[in-house]
Amino acid sequence: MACPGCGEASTMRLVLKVLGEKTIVVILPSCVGVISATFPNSTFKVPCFHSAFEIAAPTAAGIANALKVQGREDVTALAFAGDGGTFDIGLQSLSGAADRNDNFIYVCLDNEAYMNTGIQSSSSTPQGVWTMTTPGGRRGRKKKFMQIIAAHRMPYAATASIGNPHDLMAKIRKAKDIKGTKFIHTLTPCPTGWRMPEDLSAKAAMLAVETKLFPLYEIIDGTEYRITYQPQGLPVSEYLKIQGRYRHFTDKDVAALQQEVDEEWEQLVAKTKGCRL
Amino acid sequence: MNDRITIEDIKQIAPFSQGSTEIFLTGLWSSRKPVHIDKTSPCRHACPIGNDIARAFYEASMGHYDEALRIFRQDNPLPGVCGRVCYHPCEVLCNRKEYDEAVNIRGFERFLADNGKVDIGREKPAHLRKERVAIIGSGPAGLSASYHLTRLGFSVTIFEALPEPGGMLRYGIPEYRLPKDILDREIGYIRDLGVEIRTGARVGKDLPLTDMRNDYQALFLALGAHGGTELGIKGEHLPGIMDGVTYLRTINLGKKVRLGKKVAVIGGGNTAIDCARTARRSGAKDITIIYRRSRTEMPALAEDVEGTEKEGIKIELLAAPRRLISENGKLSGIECVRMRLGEPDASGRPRPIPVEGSEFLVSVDSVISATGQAPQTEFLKELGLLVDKNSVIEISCETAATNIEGIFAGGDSAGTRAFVADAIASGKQGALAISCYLDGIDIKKAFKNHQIGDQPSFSFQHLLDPEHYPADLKKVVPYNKINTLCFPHGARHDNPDNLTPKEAVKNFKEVAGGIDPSQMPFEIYRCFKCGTCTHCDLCFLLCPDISIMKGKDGYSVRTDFCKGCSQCATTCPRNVIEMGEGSGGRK
Amino acid sequence: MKILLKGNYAVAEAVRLARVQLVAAYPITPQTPIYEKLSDMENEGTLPGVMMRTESEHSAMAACIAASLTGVRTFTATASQGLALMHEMLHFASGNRVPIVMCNVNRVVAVPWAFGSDQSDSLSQRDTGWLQFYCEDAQEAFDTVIQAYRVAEQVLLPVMVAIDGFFTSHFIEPIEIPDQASIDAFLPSFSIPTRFNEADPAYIANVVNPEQYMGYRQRSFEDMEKTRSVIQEANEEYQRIIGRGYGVVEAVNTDDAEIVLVTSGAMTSTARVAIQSLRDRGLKAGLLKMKALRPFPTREVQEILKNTPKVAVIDRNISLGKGGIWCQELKAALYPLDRRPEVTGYIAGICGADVSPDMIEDMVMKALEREQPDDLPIWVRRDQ
Repeated sequence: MACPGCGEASTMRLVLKVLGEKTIVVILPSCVGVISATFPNSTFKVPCFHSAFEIAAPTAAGIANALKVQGREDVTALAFAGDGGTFDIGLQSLSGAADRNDNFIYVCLDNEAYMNTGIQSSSSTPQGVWTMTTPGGRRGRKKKFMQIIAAHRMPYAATASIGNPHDLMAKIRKAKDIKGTKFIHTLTPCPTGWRMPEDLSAKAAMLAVETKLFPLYEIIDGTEYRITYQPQGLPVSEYLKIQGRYRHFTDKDVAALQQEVDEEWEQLVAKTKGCRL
Repeated sequence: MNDRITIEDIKQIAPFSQGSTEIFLTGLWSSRKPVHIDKTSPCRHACPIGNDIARAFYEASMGHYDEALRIFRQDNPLPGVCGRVCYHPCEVLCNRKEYDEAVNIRGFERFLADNGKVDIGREKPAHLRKERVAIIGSGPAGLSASYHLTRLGFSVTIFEALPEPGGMLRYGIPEYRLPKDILDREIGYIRDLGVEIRTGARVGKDLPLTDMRNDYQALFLALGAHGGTELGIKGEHLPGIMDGVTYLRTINLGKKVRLGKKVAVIGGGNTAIDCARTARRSGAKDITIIYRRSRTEMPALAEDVEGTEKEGIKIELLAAPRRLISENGKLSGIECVRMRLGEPDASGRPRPIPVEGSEFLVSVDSVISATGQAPQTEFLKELGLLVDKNSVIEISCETAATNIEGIFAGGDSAGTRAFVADAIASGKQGALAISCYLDGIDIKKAFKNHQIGDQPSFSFQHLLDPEHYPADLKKVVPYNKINTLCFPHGARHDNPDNLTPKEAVKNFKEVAGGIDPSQMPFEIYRCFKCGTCTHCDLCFLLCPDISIMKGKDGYSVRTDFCKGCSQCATTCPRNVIEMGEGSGGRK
Repeated sequence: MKILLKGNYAVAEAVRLARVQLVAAYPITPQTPIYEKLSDMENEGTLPGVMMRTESEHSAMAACIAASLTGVRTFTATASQGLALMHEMLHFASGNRVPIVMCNVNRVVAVPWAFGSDQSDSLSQRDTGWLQFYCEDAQEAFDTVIQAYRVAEQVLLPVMVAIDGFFTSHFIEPIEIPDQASIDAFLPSFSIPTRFNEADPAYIANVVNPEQYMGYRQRSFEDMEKTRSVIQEANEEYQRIIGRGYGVVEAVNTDDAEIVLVTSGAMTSTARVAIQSLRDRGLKAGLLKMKALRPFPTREVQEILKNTPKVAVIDRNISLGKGGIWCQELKAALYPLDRRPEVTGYIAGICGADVSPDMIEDMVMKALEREQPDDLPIWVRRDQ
């Protein structure tokens, strides 16, 4: 039931492909809530629970702990939450779960706005971007979420993208075998909300990675950084020009963004130095 | 106490769904559906022989070098030769060139020929025909024709006038570019296939053509162009002047040619270059190539021209000989005139125009003129074959047929472009023509069926078995359809030089080396494999509607669910997927 | 054999003996000793389950719901602000039909900020679909938590056990704690099938259409009605095995009463003294203790008060724009009677303000004198 070209659908499918049948999925009211279908049908072939908006993490945590009590620890607890349910309303409960290091995998499907309710901005919406609630361009800047994640010292956190499906699947595979709270931040392009043709989702994801705007890396125990893919370093304009939500960007805006991307990449590279590999 | 609560009880009291969304046939509304169909790579399109280059790279990428070699040998029996001397039009049109550097396709072909195993058994035809075909000439065109005809089941005999087979490959191209043992190896495979090669058999002199007409159901004339052309200037018949083709043939026959101290080579094609560098290796130290246009127009391969200069040979560009000067009856110099480039002439190249009053003298005592070659076709007149004023056999382009039924011609003697690959292609064309003739099939239709794009080349694989590697031979993959985001940049791996120029000029050892086996995989990786599905699974993994299914032989599409978003087609690294009509949409 | 325990600790003991498998909680006065005691038990290895220390009450309830669906016995406790924060999740639990038991330690809801017993927190959640029981003392709290699990797991609806903040939670009483075997005889282990079965997967709680939604709500309504007999049966069984029991209401001297006082929670203990004192003085006063709020014991109340001329209700809560909540519920239950008693509503003890026996006597006497009570409640405060 997804829009044609939906990035979330591709991502969820790859995640579940790796995790297999012994998985319990927690989803939220979101695009996934619609994609997963109404009663009496389900798009999932594994047990699934439609939880409330802000509680993806404690729901998955509750399931994980109950599974521990029942001795069913070969079953993986998995939560899919959007950027709204993660960066905004779900941040508190995710923080609590990470603090307890409850044993589940949290996959954030980041399409950079509240898409299901009609493209409203979230704290994941990048600066200057058009949404229905920021028609003049968002004033705030995209939250540096992985830094928040790093601060929680989760045993494993990573960024991933459908443009690099094997990297994504490898990271899910890795997360499955680690005990504790695992966070995977995936960029899931949305043709509807990003105002682009429906065949460009995967390419948009690839471009986000290749322009260094969305680097692919892992954070282990909150301290060790590893870049898992070396991007080509294409100019950000390549990524922006295919999306209508950036159409109003001036050359000055693009240059400013390019500078920011370059600086953040350097900071990330600096963080990887001195790490034991 | 109530009875235990069961899952059936629970199903009644809160939403509990076990149906599947597979009941929603979202694909029925879509007006577009993806189709996986391999296409033609631009390199294949450019190749006169129509080698299935992308597929060979694909097989090689999996380590199947033998299979990759077999793919080349579907169309080209001489990959070891082409891998060394071809003018590589494939690399000129290689899509990778637009991304960083063209793939070293020629080096790859050589690598396969030198390292892969040939399984002649796999090339032997399923059915033998009773017809016999005679081929006159064992140069590339003749060898190619014999190879393909044998694979089609015909009995083939080649009649070669010179002591050994190979034509220009042996008697034209020098050893340092194409070692004789490589040539012998490849000709050996052709013999293993069952082709009879009779050397020292001079048709037209020892063997009458009319006899051949009786003994063989079809004839293929592949005489080559072994006669030199005249310079058409004064003093041309002085001693110390010889034509390039004769010079090279003499050296390649193992004889010596005495050259003077200062040698001039007239011409800018590969023959001229070959003559110059052969002369260098024969001891001459002062050699000048004189060419009437600029470097860009030189027909010789750029890398060979560079090699020439590294070996200390001078090149005088935009100069043409006016007359030859003699002193005491001996050649002492050439009077040349400077040229300038004018409008393009019939060949498409700028016409060279003499600059009056710019004469200058080049002091020489030997001149090798390599300005052209002509076929030696006098003896054909006895049969009434039509030959043009340049001695070139007249053939109908697509059919390779001469004016006499049952006699076909190809290669240099039929006016094909003077490169090895074109000769080989011409031989292949001849084989198809003869096969159609003997079967009574319309060759034009047959050719169109297997034609690659809009080129004069066709696919022999397709002829033998179109289902084996199904592909759309007419659709060529443009650069803008390659998803370059899937490919990291990388530098091209050139063939290393075995010898320094200083060492090289002392002998006729092969100068260029092959790509090292440890480096080859990296060059193979650089190839985009345009239009050949490599089962990278990207479409399969990305489909948001799980509509691309992976089978043992490839991919299929679940049209019930495919919404036609076209992500697969757009993201495919190599343009394998096309969007066709779906069942939904406007009717 | 009785031991001295404060109410909170009695609840913690009940949780342990009920073999709760997962506790998720967040600290808030006056619930904290429950949370701390359970933590001690976990540390000593005497708590059978796992503890989740959540970062808010909302998350605590979320975790309990998820764990309960997965198939384990769960518990949480909160009060006041915490219960208010949980509001969304209370609906969520009831709608998901999970047998969670929660102890709410009644405390006033801000603003103004204060710390004292007040039933506004739990009473204002009465429409969320939970069963609600109000306990008079620590012993009843212990017994009710145990009974609550059995009821919840039979009807698949969550149960809230309310105790007065400070008055019950922190006062120490002599409590009889039965042994594990007796509790096990009454309360079997959790046996509700998991709703997340990877061998037979299902999607729980997905979106429904309006008619379907109405159907589920009606079913929940009917199941809530069925709890009445389940509650009674559970209590009888508890009485039989453990030796104690409680009705959904308790009537003291109501048969011939000219006025019946209605109270709930800890105030009932004070009321017992006040009513006895009035009786000693010759007044025909009776007491009706309300234990269950949901399901509301309509039939029982109608039966007890059908011939009573006057009723006084003391509410330790207020619903702005109407009055005390017990009073409203009671009046609605009495409405069908041929002879409706005159009902006077009193608001007293808000935020744990002192309500002494003589204040209660005074309220009853004034109510008896009143001819036509107003619908509006009368506010009673010691310093006024």
